Amino acid sequence: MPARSEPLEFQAVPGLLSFAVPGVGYFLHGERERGALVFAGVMALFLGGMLIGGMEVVTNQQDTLWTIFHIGIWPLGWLTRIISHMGLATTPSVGRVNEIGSLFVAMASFLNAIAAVDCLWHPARRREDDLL
Amino acid sequence: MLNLITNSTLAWRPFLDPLDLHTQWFYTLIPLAFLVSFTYKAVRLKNIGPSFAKHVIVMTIQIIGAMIALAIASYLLVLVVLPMFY
Repeated sequence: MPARSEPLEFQAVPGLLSFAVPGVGYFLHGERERGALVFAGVMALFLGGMLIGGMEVVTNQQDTLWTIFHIGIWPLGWLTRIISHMGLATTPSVGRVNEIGSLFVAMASFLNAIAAVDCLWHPARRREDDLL
Repeated sequence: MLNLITNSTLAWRPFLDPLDLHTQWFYTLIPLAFLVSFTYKAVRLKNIGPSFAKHVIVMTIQIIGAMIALAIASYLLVLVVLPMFY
């Protein structure tokens, strides 16, 4: 196991804020470029999922397993549910389209959770080597 | 009935209506693999620099290649290997 060059440092505020707004924890750590890239990637996955499967892939509470997978972006999911209750007539998706849309949103959630954990213990979690 | 006609004739509304990708859904693998690679490398790389794009492209190709290999392996297992025993 490689020796750590920097000590682990638990930083709750950037990590927790990263769950609310993707990439904001990196901004607080002074890594603006990384924060902007993470924000762009997570939001593209989240919005892409809703573009493919419609808003229902996030707001449908009956898909219990997929709803659990949204925990990494729960504030965004919560905001989407508020917007969906503003009288918008949405069309539920079915079949593959629903699965792909849900997969996009779930991947946004997982990757945002990874970024948030990285901000919680920053920067010692990043290894020296870059894996391809 | 009126609702059915209205729904079938209205234009697609982004984020409110799902895309009609029921026969082309597998093309979404490409943007999915790219965005996963993009976000993961943004977190993972020690330094965000000119090599970022290269890392993202390589990982995207790796994901798509692995998915194609899994599809071929599943096809061979289900339609070639298993029928030999049953």
